[in-house]
Amino acid sequence: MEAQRRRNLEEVMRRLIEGEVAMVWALSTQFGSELGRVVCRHLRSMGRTDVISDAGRVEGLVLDVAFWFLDHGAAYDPASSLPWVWGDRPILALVGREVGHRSVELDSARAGANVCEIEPASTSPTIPASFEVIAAAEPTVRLLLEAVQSVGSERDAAVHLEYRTQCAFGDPSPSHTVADLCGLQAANVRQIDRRMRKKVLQLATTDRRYVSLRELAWLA
Amino acid sequence: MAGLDPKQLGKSAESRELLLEQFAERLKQRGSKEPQVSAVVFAARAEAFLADLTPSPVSEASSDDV
Repeated sequence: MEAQRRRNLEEVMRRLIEGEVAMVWALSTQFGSELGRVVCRHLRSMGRTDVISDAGRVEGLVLDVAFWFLDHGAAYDPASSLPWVWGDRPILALVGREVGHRSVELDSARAGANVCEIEPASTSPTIPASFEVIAAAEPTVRLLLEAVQSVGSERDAAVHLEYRTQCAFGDPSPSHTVADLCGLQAANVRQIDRRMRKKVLQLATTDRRYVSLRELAWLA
Repeated sequence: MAGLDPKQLGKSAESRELLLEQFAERLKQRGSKEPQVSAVVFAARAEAFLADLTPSPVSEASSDDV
């Protein structure tokens, strides 16, 4: 991004997260291209290409994203990263909430004909791929991932890692973000995280291989 | 991105009007008593603010940014 444009973005974001509603308009109209791309990428990942072709709905989602920053962007530092990079996961959750996944009318004439015998897709959350990439290069992360996976189910491990990541990114409502991503209640997310941290700390106390994890701020 | 040209978001008169309508609708959902008026005022304020900033070209971000 060109330097002056980046400075303009920082200024708009600084005012937006301070609560200046007019900046919703400034962000949407000046940086609608970038926000629109992120929105469309998430829509594609949800199979909602029908929404992408509806310019009005995409524009509405761009406005919703700008409003999201107004309401939830307090922890964002405009000088540190691009807002749509920092807010990528919450934007995904917002888009998912607004449009849902593609649905098709049930054809009642064919409903009894066993035309659809496909197993429903699993909606269980999985370990974020980024963790496995980092773990491959970083021994402490590898050890943490191994410990987390050894004390809980795949779902609980994923929820815990996602929740802690959101906390580290400064998400003001990490449990709600993860709840939206994983199809859980925010209270469940917090409970799973608490349980997982307790189990990992216990493991670090009883198994010498994991003793170095006891000092990690991640588990505090 | 068929159907949407975000570079034109709020730029042409028609796009601006449509976006203003959506902006007003969201302000109404947030409790604004005069959403249409508020939308116009906020948009004008934003445009005056943007005009004071050093002009920047219309969005040409690379895909790396996103």
